[in-house]
Amino acid sequence: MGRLILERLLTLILKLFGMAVILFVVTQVLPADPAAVAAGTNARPEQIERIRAELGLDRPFHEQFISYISGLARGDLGKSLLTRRAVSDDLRLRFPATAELAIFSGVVIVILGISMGILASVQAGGTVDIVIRMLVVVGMGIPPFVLALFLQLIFAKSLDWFPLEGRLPTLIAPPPHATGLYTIDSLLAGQWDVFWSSVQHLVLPVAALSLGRLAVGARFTRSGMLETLSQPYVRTARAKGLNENRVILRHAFRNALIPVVTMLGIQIGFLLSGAVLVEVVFTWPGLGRYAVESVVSFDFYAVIGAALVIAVIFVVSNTIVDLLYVQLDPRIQHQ
Amino acid sequence: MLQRKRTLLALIALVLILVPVSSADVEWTGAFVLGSCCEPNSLDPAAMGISQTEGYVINAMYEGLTQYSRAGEIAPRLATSWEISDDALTYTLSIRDGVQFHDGSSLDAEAVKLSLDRHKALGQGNLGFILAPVDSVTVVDDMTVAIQLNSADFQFWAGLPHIKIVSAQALAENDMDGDLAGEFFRENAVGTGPYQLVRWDPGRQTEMAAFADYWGGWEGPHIERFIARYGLDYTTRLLLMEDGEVHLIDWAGLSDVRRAATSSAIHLNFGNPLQGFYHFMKQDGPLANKQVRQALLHAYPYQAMIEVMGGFAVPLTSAALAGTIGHCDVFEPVQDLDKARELLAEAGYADGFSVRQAYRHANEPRRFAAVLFQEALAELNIEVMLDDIPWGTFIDAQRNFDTAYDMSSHWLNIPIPYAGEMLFRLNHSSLIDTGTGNWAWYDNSDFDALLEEAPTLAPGDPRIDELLCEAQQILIDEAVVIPVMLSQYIDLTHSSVRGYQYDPYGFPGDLHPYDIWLEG
Repeated sequence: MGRLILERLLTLILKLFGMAVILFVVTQVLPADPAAVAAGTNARPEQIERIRAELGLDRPFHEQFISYISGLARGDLGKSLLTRRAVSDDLRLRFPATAELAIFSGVVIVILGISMGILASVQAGGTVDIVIRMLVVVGMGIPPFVLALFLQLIFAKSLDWFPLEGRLPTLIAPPPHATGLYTIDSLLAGQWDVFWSSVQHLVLPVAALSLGRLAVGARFTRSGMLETLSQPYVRTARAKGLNENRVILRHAFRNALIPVVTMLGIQIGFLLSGAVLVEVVFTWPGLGRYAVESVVSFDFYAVIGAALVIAVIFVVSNTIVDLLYVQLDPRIQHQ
Repeated sequence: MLQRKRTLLALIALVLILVPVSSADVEWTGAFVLGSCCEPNSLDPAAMGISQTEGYVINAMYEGLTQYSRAGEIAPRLATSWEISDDALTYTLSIRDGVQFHDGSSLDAEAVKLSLDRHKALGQGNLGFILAPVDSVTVVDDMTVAIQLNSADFQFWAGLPHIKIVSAQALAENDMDGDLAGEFFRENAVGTGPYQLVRWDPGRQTEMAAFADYWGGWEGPHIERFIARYGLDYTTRLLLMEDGEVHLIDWAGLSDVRRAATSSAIHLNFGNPLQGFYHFMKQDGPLANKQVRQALLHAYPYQAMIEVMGGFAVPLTSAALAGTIGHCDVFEPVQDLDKARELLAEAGYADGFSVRQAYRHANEPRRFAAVLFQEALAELNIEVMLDDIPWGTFIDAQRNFDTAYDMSSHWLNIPIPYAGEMLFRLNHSSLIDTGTGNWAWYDNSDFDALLEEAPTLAPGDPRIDELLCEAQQILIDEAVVIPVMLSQYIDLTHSSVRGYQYDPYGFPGDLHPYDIWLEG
């Protein structure tokens, strides 16, 4: 396992370096002037030149490249052309919002998706299975941002059950910063009203984000379970008179988990890299929205920084999936 | 008994007259929430960009030495009076006594000098040019400062209201490696304005609270907190406003106007900003021919464009904006395709030609303006190929003659109500190949000379009007740009908002939160 982690770590470093080089070159050859964008639409030429010099954009390409890559090696992602903060600071500010959304959505996807998949498989062809399959089709067919708008109109605007947008009400200050996750930070600070409010604010974006992925999870679990339930060892377990719950959960489900874990790993990677449109609809100040704002503004260092963080998230989530494989099926380790 | 009552009433009245206004006379009316799409890049007034929200936030916390009155005249603010030397090179200002910064330090001439020196040294933002002609700032006495210019420049005086004064104490305490506290002021604010910074949560909102020791005092109804919310898309902003959770939506679009018309909770406001919309014609190929350009000036569907804008636009009668110093009417914006055909035939282009036109993307009016012109020119056998491109790409293409578009359209706004500034941005030859203006690549030394001489005259000199009027006439005679329209600024307010009035002079935006209160 240690070797696997080491291998993945080395691969990650190489991948990040490759990505940084490609992204840097691409952003440099694009026909655009980031200094002019940073200066604003009515800036005078001397102001644009001053910003260009301040940000080092007036230096030759190779100098900028060496400076950026050597900075990267020290963990310096450069300075945002737009916010003028260090990109790493911007990402630190934005990532917790996305992480909170992703963690809650992930929990919903895992618990509900897997439960629905198991339920549908053990009652295959029955009413419950048909209802769950219909939900799966609906869930997979509606884009999250469309669902987000529907949820806003029904549950926020018409019924007034949940807040329309944001992480907290306008007049409530965020809890003291510890993790950046308002639910955790408010609990740590003992601010129960803030905790309750942040949970309420999470409901609609989590629902919008998780319904489609939950459907995928249910579908994967159902098909995996149907396959394992027809295996001889399951028949043997039942013939031995084992309790049905034990047969389903210990014998069938565990063996059906590998494709489900693969799918969940990818889904969690997507969730952590920011759901752009859902973040936009719910005014959620997360990583996805930051990445889009950076692209639109030609904020190249911010774009590269966000892309690198997303790459790290995917590699780490895939590594965790690989490690889980070994735990779920010891034969994989031997292979 | 009656006599005693009268005496008592008289005593009460006397006490009410003699006792100064105390905080008990204030009626706090809650928190005013601005629902905005866009977050400020910085809170530093010396780095102010063009974002309306940035202006709203910064102008609530900082003040200038002077200010524009609602009528567009320069009025006292942190300076109570001033003298301008006859040669318009020395400006001596008396500083208001008893003004405190949000950090408790006092305003004096030294603080003003440090602020002005800092602003000039940083030279950032869209206001950097205003202090460019300043040679030195001298402390005459504790409460008097003298500003000496290198050369007379009317734009300095016109732009001074936008130069904000920061705390000298905060500046001294937070200077890091000679950065003039740039890092500090980017995320903090220490001014003298009526509202002080409580918190800036990046990506979410900036919260400001009434500054108890504000020199203007607090009497009558005011908002206690001013909160600017960011990242709100149009639909969400409207839904929040209907519920009274947002009180002002800036830069509302035409679709918002239609939606607002159906809600009694939403009021529509509009006004004329210092912003014009123009079509530029690069002097190359067929467009190098003056008659061809004149034909295009006659071909533009001005009235149709106003109608497409839902009536929220005003025709321009010159390249300069009406109401600015030096503006004069030199042009009648009427489409005349017969005249255009005649001019094209005379120029030898009766069969037409092809041109490429660019406009900055993500904006409906720009697209409408380009498409309407494309349709009009099709009737003259002129084919227009449209490119919808982002600003960064646009400016990159426009700085090189070979890649610059034959025609381009853009909004230009100016920070001061001075026609010369707009004419400079439109067509001064120094902007050629910078990408920041003069996309017509117009090079006329006579025109340049008029723009350069006008600001050297003392404020109020009638020759300013004469010189600028001549410059405006040249642009129309030469058909260098097509002045399309002044697109009105539209914003929406919640029905509970009182005291708000759009201010076209508060660059890049000033909503005067001190004057606002909420009712109901």
